[in-house]
Amino acid sequence: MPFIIDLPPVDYQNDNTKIEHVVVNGEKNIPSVDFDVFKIDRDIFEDVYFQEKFESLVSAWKGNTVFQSSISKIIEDDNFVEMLKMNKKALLPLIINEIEREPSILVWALNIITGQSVSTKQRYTIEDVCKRWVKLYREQKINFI
Amino acid sequence: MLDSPINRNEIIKVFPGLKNDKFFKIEDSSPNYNCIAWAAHVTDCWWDKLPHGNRPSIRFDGVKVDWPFDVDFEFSTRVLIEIFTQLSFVICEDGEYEDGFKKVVIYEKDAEATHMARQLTNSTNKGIWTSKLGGWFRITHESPLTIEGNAYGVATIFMKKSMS
Repeated sequence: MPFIIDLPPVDYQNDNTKIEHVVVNGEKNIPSVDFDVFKIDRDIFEDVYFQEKFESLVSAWKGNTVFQSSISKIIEDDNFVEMLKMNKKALLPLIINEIEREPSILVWALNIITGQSVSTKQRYTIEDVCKRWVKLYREQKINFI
Repeated sequence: MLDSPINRNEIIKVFPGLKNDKFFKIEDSSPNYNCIAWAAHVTDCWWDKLPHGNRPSIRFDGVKVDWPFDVDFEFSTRVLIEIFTQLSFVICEDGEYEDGFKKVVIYEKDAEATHMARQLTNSTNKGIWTSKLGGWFRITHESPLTIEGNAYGVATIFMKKSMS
């Protein structure tokens, strides 16, 4: 048997909204502003912006190229190229987190950004190199050109 | 689960011909190899040339940088035929199963090579085809025709190799 809850109507009283004007009598009374708070807010905003842009570009890139076998076609896709133009300091950890979550050919973006390869004479698979890149990043051993 | 309805539907969106393919099955999701490597039974690296202009300054991880043999530096049907000729394949008429032979097929779209698939010869899957879809899934399919379409174009060149 259904259990029905009947909520009482909401009583809006917009006309009761009270506006207070703060009168400042001299500079001494101005409340101090913690500018660090704004900086943290800005940093968080930037992080969210980069994260969303990255996810959107990677998703579109996968959609266009996921079945491709030609590396040229994969790395010349507009979304991949656009991703490489992102702020490298922000981009690097995003790629590292993504290939840690799901090892993939996205690791080639790291080859392009850093100009480096983690392969040695021994041949590594894509999954191997993803693990190596993550490890090197966590150990702070990745340098930009 | 690898062969889940969600994954199957994702693949069917790209290859609608698989919808009614009774041999369509997802077998692997490794990013470690691509279709050309898989056609040659290789599963630990991508077979591809590097993009022009980037060679040799950028070396991609997990990729067999140069083509497997001394062939021209291009991703084309002509070069793929040359590579598989060096692996003892010869051009043949079609993809019909022939006892004692393994077959591969090259796909073309807009006159460009796009994909390779290989026919299976073991007793349980005899005659059906296997494709590695880029860095995505590896699947089986009834015939070369069921993955034709916008993504890979059409199956154009068949090659076979004697197993004896």
